[in-house]
Amino acid sequence: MLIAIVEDTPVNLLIMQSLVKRLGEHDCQVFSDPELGLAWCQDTPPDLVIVDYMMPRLDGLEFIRRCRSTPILQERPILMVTAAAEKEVRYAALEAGATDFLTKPIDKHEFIPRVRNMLQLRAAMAATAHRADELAIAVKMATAEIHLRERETIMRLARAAEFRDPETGAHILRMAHYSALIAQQLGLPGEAIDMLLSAAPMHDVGKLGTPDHILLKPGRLTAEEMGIMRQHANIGYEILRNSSSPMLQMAAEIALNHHEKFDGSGYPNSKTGQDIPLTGRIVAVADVFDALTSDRPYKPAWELTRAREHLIAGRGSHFDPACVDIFIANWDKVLEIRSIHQD
Amino acid sequence: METNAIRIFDRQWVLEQIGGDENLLHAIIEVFLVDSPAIRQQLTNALQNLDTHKLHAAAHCAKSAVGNFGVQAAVQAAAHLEDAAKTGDTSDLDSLTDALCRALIGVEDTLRQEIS
Repeated sequence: MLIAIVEDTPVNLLIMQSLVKRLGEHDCQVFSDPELGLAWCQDTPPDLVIVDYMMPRLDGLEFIRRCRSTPILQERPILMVTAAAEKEVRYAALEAGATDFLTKPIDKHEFIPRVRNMLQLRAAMAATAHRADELAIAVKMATAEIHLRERETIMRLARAAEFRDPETGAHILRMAHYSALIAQQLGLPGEAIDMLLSAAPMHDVGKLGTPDHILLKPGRLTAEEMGIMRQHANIGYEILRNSSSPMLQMAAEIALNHHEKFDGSGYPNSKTGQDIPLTGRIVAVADVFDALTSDRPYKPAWELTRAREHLIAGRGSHFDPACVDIFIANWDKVLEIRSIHQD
Repeated sequence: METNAIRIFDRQWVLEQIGGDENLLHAIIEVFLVDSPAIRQQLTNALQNLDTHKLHAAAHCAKSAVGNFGVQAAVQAAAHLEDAAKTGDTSDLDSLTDALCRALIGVEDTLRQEIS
């Protein structure tokens, strides 16, 4: 253990240092100058500080206060050395944060047990802190594993929806990465971006509830069929909502809102502008762009420039202008994502 | 005062306080013999400047150092000066400072004999 003794009377310093040596192999640093002692303690937090009360320039009370205002020293045991009669000093020392007292003149019978007790206290505190750190790491690892499983479950659910849909697995990856790209450029926090990356692939999970003859129809849908098709937004929301998982909550929000349009002409709730959750506005751009640039049973893939012009034309009507602007401004990254996640 | 100091110094008590370590006793005496004249000088300077704050600090230091040798006469002399300096009562500072310096010299003489 590392022990600091701060005491301006050389005789006391020598006695305390000698008695500490009797307690075992401890590293003992002594300071007759309290300011130097404080600076050292703040730089090299000792396991125990023994400090005199009355010292020039910086008395023991102020020394303790400054230690306690130093985060790393807030929990370290501090023994203050006082004369037995100075009761008011003891009260003030307790108020300042002293852990215990030693009386002068230094008495081996008092000094050694008190110092030993303080070192045992420190060892117990360190062991507790170590255990808390271990538990925190274990919780973090377990949480990460749960998140991984949650993400895997979501991806499998998305794949289940995908099997009934002509859209490919690469589509959900591309639109998820396009969504994450927009979110990142909009300045969303890293945690939200990660969540969006996992939640966006669920946008069409509601198509599990769409009949095959409509979902897989190669030609144009009738008005009635289109109405049924559009129910997938609400169905997806019903499948995903009310989860305690923030990721599934976001996925539910996306499923419900990714077909809303900025001017209110979208479905299912005809929301407008900022009333459409940001995740819905982001995914709308990402999903439409990838759908346009992918082959479908009812249409060939559009040229990239045509799809790009479509987004720009829909700026403020179909799409949130900010999301379109960011998407276009990061065109190189869009192409990179498209290149990595090919069908 | 010197006679009292010599008579009251209790070698066994001091040894008991520091764990029976003869070498440590020798070492702290040597340290005290360096420290005590410096404290006396501080007392004298503080008195000359009528600096009660420094006088109080030096008296406290003397009390703390000499207390380890169990010489009650010197401890009391230091405590009296410490109290007077703390209250700002300057009427007896001359005599109290003189008494403490004499007590310290007495302890120094006694301890010097101890290690000679």
